[in-house]
Amino acid sequence: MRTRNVHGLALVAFALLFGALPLTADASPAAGAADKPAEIVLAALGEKAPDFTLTDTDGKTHTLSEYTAQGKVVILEWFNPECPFVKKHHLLTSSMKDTHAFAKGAGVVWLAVNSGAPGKQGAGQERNAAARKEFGMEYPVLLDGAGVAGKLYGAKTTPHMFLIDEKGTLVYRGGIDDDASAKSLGKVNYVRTCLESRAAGKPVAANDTKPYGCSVKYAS
Amino acid sequence: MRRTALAVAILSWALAGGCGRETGRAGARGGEAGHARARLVAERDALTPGDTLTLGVSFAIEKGWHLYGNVANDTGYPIRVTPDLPPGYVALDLLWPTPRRHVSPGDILDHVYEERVTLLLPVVVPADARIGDRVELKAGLEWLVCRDLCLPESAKVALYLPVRPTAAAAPDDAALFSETRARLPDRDSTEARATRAGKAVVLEVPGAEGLVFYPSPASARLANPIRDAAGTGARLTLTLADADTGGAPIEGVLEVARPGGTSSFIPVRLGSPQGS
Repeated sequence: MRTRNVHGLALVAFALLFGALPLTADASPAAGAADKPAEIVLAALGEKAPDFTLTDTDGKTHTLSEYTAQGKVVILEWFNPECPFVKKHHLLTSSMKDTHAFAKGAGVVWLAVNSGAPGKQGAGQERNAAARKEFGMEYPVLLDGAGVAGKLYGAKTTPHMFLIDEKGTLVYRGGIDDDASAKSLGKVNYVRTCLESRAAGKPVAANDTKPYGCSVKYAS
Repeated sequence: MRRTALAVAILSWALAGGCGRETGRAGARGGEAGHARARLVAERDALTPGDTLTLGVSFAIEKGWHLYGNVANDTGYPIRVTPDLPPGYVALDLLWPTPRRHVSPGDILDHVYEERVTLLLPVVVPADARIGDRVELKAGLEWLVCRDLCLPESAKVALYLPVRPTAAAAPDDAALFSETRARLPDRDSTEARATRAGKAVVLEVPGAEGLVFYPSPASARLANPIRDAAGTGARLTLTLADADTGGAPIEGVLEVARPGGTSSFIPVRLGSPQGS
């Protein structure tokens, strides 16, 4: 069974059901856009990051392309407040808060995304609104219970980090650091290093690292 | 009066674990955490100087939960064993039975153990170990146990064994060892053929009724292991995530389904084109 096709159908179904996803239409010169079904474009490094619209725990709507239209760099942090690896960065240490502070100083927009399906560990508006307070998060947590954005980006773990540049190109994906445990921080903070390289005009060396954490709790 | 004294003496001896030593059953201290219980077991009932004794780090896993194997997984982390042995005793590499594939929604692929697993830890006994000594072998364990949520757990386990000139098989836990050995890769096997052209890797075992490839954590990454790394028949065609693996080999264990329903396990290692 070709998983990609199944996901394509599932995404279209979710998009119609939840109206959460503006489909990226592939305008071909030969046939008009109306003749071809809109293509679901999955995230690929070096390519345009897939657009999405999600609501945060305060009920506010966020659309990725609105940020990139303003020339903002955007960081996406896949999140699950119950996951021990997420807690490592939010409770055990202040690493996520510190990295956010660094990014904010560089004008970066930071969005957490929870793609846990309703009823799954750490999912839902209430739990995530409470976690934002508990963890002292200064950025929104977007609720992606249908898993649409998660599957577009191939988010597999919490945390799982993605960096989208001011042109809307996906330039980093992977772990926040290089210590895949639930206890200690890595020697290298990949997200911070990525931002520093970009600020210095240098190419990002580690742009596709292995993410680690709990699995994202998509619907079964 | 003497009979009472004798009775008290025997009772004290029995309570001190004397009965245990008498029947050859070693004393063990287990690790009890939340959803998995760990203990240290041994294949034989004594340490013999100069020999290698295989210990087992054995987990009983709560139903519905799983631990992670030493295979390239999307999530979690493999069981960690830190041996703590007396001076002169040397722990060799852990031997991992091949786990089982576990696919979760969102194309998440892990390789896990359910119900129970025993990792083998061979220990070299020093040649000058003293006959009659009672030795404590210990290990610190850390693991991630998951169901729909994940919990990191840890335990310290210990095992006491006597040093004797000879040792007998320890029957109580023999099944744990044979169960693991049945899923260890056979390093002497030459059955598997591995070839590579660009991003395509073909693994073949003539006569196999099905194949499953378990890449090691250090192996070159696959583009779509859920689709590619398992199939019926005698051949798997894997697509690498990158044509340039940066020198990383394609490496892991191949599970071979044999006619009749059994499986055997073969190590696979295909180096970079420049090397081989």
